Amino acid sequence: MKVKEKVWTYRDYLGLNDDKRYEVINGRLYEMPAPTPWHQGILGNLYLILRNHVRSKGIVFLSPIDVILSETLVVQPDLVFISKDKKDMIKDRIYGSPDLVIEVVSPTSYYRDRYEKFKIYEKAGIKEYWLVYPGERAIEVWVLKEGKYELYSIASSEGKVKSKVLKGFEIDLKEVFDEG
Amino acid sequence: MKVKEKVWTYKDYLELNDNKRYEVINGRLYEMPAPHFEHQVISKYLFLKLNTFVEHKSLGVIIYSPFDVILSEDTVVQPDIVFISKENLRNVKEGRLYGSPDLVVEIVSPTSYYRDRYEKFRIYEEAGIKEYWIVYPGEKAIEVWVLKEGKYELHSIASGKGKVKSEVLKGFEVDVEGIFKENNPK
Repeated sequence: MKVKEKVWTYRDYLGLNDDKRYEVINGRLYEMPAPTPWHQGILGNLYLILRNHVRSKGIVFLSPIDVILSETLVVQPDLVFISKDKKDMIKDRIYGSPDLVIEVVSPTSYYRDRYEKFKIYEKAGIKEYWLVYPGERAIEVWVLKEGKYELYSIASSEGKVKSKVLKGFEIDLKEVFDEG
Repeated sequence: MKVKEKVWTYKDYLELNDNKRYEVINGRLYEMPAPHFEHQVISKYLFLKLNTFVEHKSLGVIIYSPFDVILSEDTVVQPDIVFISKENLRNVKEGRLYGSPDLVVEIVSPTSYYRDRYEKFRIYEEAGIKEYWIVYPGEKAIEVWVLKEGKYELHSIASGKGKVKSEVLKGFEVDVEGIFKENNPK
C-alpha cells in the first residue's frame, strides 16, 4: 500500500508516530498491513528451523525489525540473518546489509517482494534472498553472483531447498508448510 | 512430474496411448496431473473474459487446455489458455497447433511452479510467443510478459486488487479481484 506522495527519508520515517508499520522504498512510504495467520505460521516455522541451525554462527531476527539500507531505503524483511562477524551493524536498528533475507510473499506484497525488493537487495549486496510463496508451496533461493542474483535452489510442492551462505543448511518444504 | 529418462520427440508422444496427459519439454516427458478445482475456477473466469473480448472483435480463437501446441520436434505443451489470432489459425492442423500461439496463459500450481515460471518462460520466449500471462492463485497475482526484441519484459502486473492489461489484445484488461473471487487461500 503506497501512502503519501513525497520523497521520504529515514529521518521522516523515524518522525512518524502513529503506531503503524511502514517501509520506505526509494523514497516512497508504504504502509504494512498485519500479516495473515497463515503467513505468520510459515514464518514461525522458518524462524525456528533457521535459528536452530544458526546457533553461534550469527543472529536471526524476526519481523518487524528495521533494516536501514540507505537514507531513502528502510525495509522490514520477514526474516534476517546476520553473521557473527557483521554483528557491529546491529545497533538501535540494523544498519547495512544482512547476510541473508527471507520474505514470505502475500497478495499485498507480491510485486514489491518479487521485483522491487529483489532489485534493492541485489543492489545492496545482500548475498542471499529467499522468496517463499505460501499459495504455490514454493521456495526460491537467490544467491548473488558478480552482483546479480542467480537462482541457486528451488522447490515447490515437495522437496528441499538449500542455502549457500549457511553452508549445510537445507530445509524440507514439509517442515515449512505443514508443521505448526 | 518428470516421467521417463530418454529423449522424447513429438512422434513418440503421439504414439503414447495410455489416456494420460503429457507435455514434452526439451525432450523430457512430463505427466500432467488433473488440475485442482481452484485452478479450474480461475481458468474459467479468465477464459470467459478473454473469450468475450476476442469473439466480440472477431480476432481469432481462445481455447482452453487440454490442447496440443507443437512448438518444435522435442517440445509439445498444453498451456492452460491459448489465443490464436485469425491469421495464425491456418497453423491448426489435425486438431493441433503447429507453431506459436499469439498469447499463452499458465495458471501456476505447486507441481508446475518451476516449469511455468522458469522453464516454459524461456521456451515461450524462444518460441517467439508475443505475450505470456502467468497466474499465481496463492498470491492472487497476474503477470503479463510481453516480448520486446526477443526478451520478455514485465508489461503489467497486479496482485490482490487492480487490473492487468494485454498488449497483444489491445484494449483488453481484467480486474484480478474478479478472477480470484472464489479463491480463498488459507
